[in-house]
Amino acid sequence: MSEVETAKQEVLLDLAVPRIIVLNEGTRQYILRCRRIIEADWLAYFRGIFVSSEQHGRERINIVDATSPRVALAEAVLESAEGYKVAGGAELSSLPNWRSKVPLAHRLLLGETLADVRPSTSLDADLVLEPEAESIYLSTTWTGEPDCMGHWEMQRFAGLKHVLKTPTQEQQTRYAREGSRSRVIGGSRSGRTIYPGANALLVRLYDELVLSVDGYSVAGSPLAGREAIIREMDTSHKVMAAQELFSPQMTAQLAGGDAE
Amino acid sequence: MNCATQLAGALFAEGTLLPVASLAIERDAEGLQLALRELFEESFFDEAIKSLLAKLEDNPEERDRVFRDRPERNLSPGYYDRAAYLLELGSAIEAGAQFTAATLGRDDVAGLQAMKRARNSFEHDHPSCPACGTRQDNRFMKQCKGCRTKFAGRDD
Repeated sequence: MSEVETAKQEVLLDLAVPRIIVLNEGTRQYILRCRRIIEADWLAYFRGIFVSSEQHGRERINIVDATSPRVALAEAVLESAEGYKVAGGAELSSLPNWRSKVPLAHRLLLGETLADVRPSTSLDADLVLEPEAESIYLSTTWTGEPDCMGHWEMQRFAGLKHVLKTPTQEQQTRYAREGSRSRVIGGSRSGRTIYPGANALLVRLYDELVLSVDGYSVAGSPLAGREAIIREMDTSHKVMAAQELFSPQMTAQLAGGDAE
Repeated sequence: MNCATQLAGALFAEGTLLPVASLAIERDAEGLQLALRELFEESFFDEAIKSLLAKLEDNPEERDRVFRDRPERNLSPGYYDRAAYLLELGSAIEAGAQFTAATLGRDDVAGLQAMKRARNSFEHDHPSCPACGTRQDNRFMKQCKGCRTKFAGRDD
């Protein structure tokens, strides 16, 4: 997948545009068009991420597996797929259960790309600190666009800014309480801890704390105002920004998805 | 372990399709007490070896040996994560942070009670010297390991 890093000032990330993910495989190019991903899709995705931990002597073994929720997300939002040839000349979308006919590796890569949001650094010349708030920067791969030659490329955005109020003690405690909830299977001593995660709470905390954002737009207009941000912001960006505010060391786990 | 908190979960362990029992760690007060007690012991051990490790900077083998003596953890990792949260909560309350019944749940209170029991048991086993406050390796020591004060009633 080729990508074009988009300077913040040039183009705003439009949250309302349908996401088009372009997969390149040798000389072949596949265009996967997806509907807008809503909060319920993201919460189902985050719920599906399997995070577990086991103690083996002095060693702690953590496992994070996001494979299944990535595939499920891809299948839930995929609206059309171009570039695939079906034996007999039929249209892929005319086949029953056509989404599951897209190669698993492609569905996985699609889910991975849709969920690709991670902490970034500021693109501004100076790092300006807010006295009563904190600035979080994210980067993401958003959607594909054809260049003048008709060749599709993915746009990558960096330095997407979220200004969040500094959390109160009560908000910190809510997050720590939710994040430390877990279940053990196989007994308290030798068992495996399963962490449900605190992503739904992170969405609520984001909504409580967000003051402004920079780098986003909706249908061509820059995204501004708390109400509009709460309504329009992509839930995965909310989770990642809030996670970075409350527990930066955990963002790697959320953005990742491989066994450690 | 508190059987009342054991719930039959439909979690699939190790690829089997058999329902397995799962336990909500935040409701297992006994397990949390054990984890907190272990964390107190770990912290006591780390404090005790701090000066020793500084002396062993050029002796990695000996440093490894010292680390090998560190008490092992016996519970599933989630217990220590919840214990760390309870320690943080307890410390915020001690520092004067205000919590109402709406912000402090029943699990929190049960956890804080477990922390109190763990601390009492740790302090019973590691009493502090009345003269200098140094916590002792055990309650049978006859002399303070810090200031060498002799403890009354523990002479041979």
